[in-house]
Amino acid sequence: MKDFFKGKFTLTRRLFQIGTFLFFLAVYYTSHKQSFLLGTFYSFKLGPIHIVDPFIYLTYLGRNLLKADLFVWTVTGFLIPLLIAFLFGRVFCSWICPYNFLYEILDFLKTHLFRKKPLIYFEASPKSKKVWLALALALGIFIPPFPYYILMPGLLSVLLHQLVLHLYSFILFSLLLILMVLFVDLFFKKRIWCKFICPTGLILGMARWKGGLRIIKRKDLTCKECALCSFECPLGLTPHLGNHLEDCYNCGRCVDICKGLRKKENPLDFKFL
Amino acid sequence: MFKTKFLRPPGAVKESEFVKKCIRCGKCQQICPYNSIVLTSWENPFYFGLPYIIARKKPCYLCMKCPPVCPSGALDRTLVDKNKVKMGIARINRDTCWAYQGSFCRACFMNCPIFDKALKMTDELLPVVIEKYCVGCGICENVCPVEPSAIIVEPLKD
Ligand code: SF4
Ligand code: SF4
Ligand code: SF4
Ligand code: SF4
Repeated sequence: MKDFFKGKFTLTRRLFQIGTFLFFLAVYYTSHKQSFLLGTFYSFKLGPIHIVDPFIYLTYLGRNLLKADLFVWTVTGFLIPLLIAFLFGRVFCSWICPYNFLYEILDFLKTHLFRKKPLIYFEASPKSKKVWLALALALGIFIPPFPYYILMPGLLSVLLHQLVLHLYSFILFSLLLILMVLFVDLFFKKRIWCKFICPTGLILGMARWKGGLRIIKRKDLTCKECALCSFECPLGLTPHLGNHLEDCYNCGRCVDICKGLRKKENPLDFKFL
Repeated sequence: MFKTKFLRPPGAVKESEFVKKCIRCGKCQQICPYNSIVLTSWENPFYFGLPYIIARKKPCYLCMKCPPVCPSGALDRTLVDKNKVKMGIARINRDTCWAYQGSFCRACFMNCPIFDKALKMTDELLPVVIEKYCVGCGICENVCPVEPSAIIVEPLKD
């Protein structure tokens, strides 16, 4: 990634990401005084509605089966992320998730400071992703703490709250987990974690509807095959070949690059419906 | 090696269920105005992220703000009456408690929020815990002048 803010979508997205960070900071500093907005990325309380991470909620249901508390506001909240994913794809990952933001910052620094090739290349087939997701759900059901160890957005936002409270022993513990994942992620070909491992991302990706928000390569406009979009894609996908849909998280980076090239003829664009 | 007994926030379901139910969202920790609730990390990685209270540092003051914000039913969100809370039961160590050693001390008695019910002074001198009324908030453990505390809250077993 060469430019951090350039481009219409990228700029909006950065504002969103910074806004999310500030928003949570504000929530943490006021949480003693109000109970309207509370929570982390595991589960966020918006008035009476508890928006819950689908992976966390599915393992919760599995763990408790008949004894699960089917609180109507939590069940509603569980459906909200799925609905958003159904319509807009994995926008949570690209526009909100703090882990993605952190990673993009590091990725930006990496391209400017090291310019190294990834050490290990890794690709996974759609089928193996489903197998892993099933395994992750089973592990989450039988080992209660498991989901909380691998949920990067949750870990980061809890970490932020513990910073506000000055509870440093917890911070050290979760920082270690986050650094481990970052370490893996930075050495593999782009974003092995977000593309193949993070169960939340996998579930949101599967909830996606083909007719929802997506990137298309228009056939009526000529593509120069410069592949700049593919170099810039934070997930290491290949939008210039038009085969990127499955993992793409709708960040709009490729559209920005494409639009920046030529003012009128840009084959890459967002499409909804 | 690892800590296994944890004092859960008020309204918590029994321990074996709490571990499965709590989704570790930290909302109870956020709403607590006294910062009584902390999250588990090194103390026991198997309980990673579960909320608990270290009474000696900061007890629960029974403001009852945390049960209603719990999304998972790990805390009973209908609980409002602090007298109905049951987090644990206080136990007095008669070998170290100053009152039992012959000095005059009524720190726990004076501070107990279930005043004159959960803790009674027999003959106005010796504190006794009445198990039926003690809610296990840990305020007594917190104020006890003896080091380590001569009155300690034992979290409820299953
Ligand atoms: S294909 Fe485009 S929109 Fe999709 S992740 Fe890559 S850069 Fe972002
Ligand atoms: S009842 Fe009040 S003081 Fe006690 S743990 Fe809950 S929020 Fe904190
Ligand atoms: S609010 Fe409920 S689910 Fe969330 S951490 Fe506290 S006890 Fe667990
Ligand atoms: S005896 Fe101690 S733990 Fe029990 S209610 Fe009184 S102060 Fe709380």
